[in-house]
Amino acid sequence: MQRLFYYPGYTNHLGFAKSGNDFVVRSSDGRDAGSINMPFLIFPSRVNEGSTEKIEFRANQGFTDAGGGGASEIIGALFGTTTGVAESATPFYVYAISNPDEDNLVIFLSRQKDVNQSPVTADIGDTNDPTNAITIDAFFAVSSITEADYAEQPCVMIGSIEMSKDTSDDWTVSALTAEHGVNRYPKIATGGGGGAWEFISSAEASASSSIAFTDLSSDYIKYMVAIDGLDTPNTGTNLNMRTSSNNGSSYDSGSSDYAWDGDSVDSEITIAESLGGAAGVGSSFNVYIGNPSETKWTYIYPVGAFYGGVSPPNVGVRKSTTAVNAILFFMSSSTLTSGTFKLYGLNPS
Amino acid sequence: MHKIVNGKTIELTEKEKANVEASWVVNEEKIANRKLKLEQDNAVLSSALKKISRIAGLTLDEEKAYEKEYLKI
Repeated sequence: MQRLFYYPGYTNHLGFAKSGNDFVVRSSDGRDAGSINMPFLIFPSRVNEGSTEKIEFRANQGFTDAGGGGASEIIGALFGTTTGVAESATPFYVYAISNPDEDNLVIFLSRQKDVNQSPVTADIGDTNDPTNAITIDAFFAVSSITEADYAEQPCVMIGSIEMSKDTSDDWTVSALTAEHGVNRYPKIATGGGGGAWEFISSAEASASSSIAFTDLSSDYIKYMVAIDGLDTPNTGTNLNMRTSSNNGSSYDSGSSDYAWDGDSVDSEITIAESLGGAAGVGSSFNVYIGNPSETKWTYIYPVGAFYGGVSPPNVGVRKSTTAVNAILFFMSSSTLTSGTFKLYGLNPS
Repeated sequence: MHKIVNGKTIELTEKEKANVEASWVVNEEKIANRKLKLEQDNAVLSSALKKISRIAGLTLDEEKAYEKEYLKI
């Protein structure tokens, strides 16, 4: 006789689908969930602590995404992103929480992975109130619910999807791939995991007028440019930096756009003053950019060492609340003879 | 002359090249002005330091140590 051993989180006969502009959770065979076709999950009981329950998924749940035009039921949910700033495809994790009577399930989306308890009421949105899903910890119900009934309750992660956001804060569910679906998850990025510095891009100066990095986003809470072996042709030139809020179409250069250690109003930040110019001097810096996607002033704080100069590397600020999405390095009056510039991002979770 | 964007080398147009070279001239002047201002600030600080060191009875070595600490260039 065959025996089946069910464990908390066991998912039976459940499936995700992208149908037109709708994301739908239904039966895995493509049919609607219902009395004769009932998926179920094994769940930690919210009534009898220490016990598990078999809880049935009684009817399809889902929402219309940005592709549905004015019918979107997720517009305004920020999930910790910056309002008005588009986001490329981002992993979302799908959770189930049982209703208070433990006779049905509600499906939620969250950017947080491996959560075992839902957040507080204020961090839960639904298809009627998507704008309640403000923070990166928020849960969004793919149906209409009473949020308080699902706050701080046991939840089970049952799969993942991917969504991208437009500048209207509306989200589009990506087509399901092998990395997404019930009990499917995106691959861990190479070069670093959660909470680690991840390599993004590299440039090798060779008598270059400038070096730029674009596409900075809220995927990372800080950026760092590691500069090594920087040689310049002339002694006494400065290493400068500017920022952009239009992804590098232009770089802010107003006479009072920036402040730094040596000047409270300037058209750039001077990272280092009066570098030594002999070949092989090879200055070295780590230039940190604090949360450029935040709608607050953007702070730049380098550490490093160089020969010559009138002071240590200078901290500075871009005095604007507009999010920064590109940065530019250049010398005050020469090219960048040689040196490597490597961009890293600090993964927030 | 070229610029590098996200690791890709892009040749500057003649206009961009002219703009870069013009900015170098402006920046040279800006750096010279800043150096001049620092020298003027230093002259004021140096003078004040000498007066204070006389009042405080500092030795020449002590005065030079303070100069090294506080003067910017």
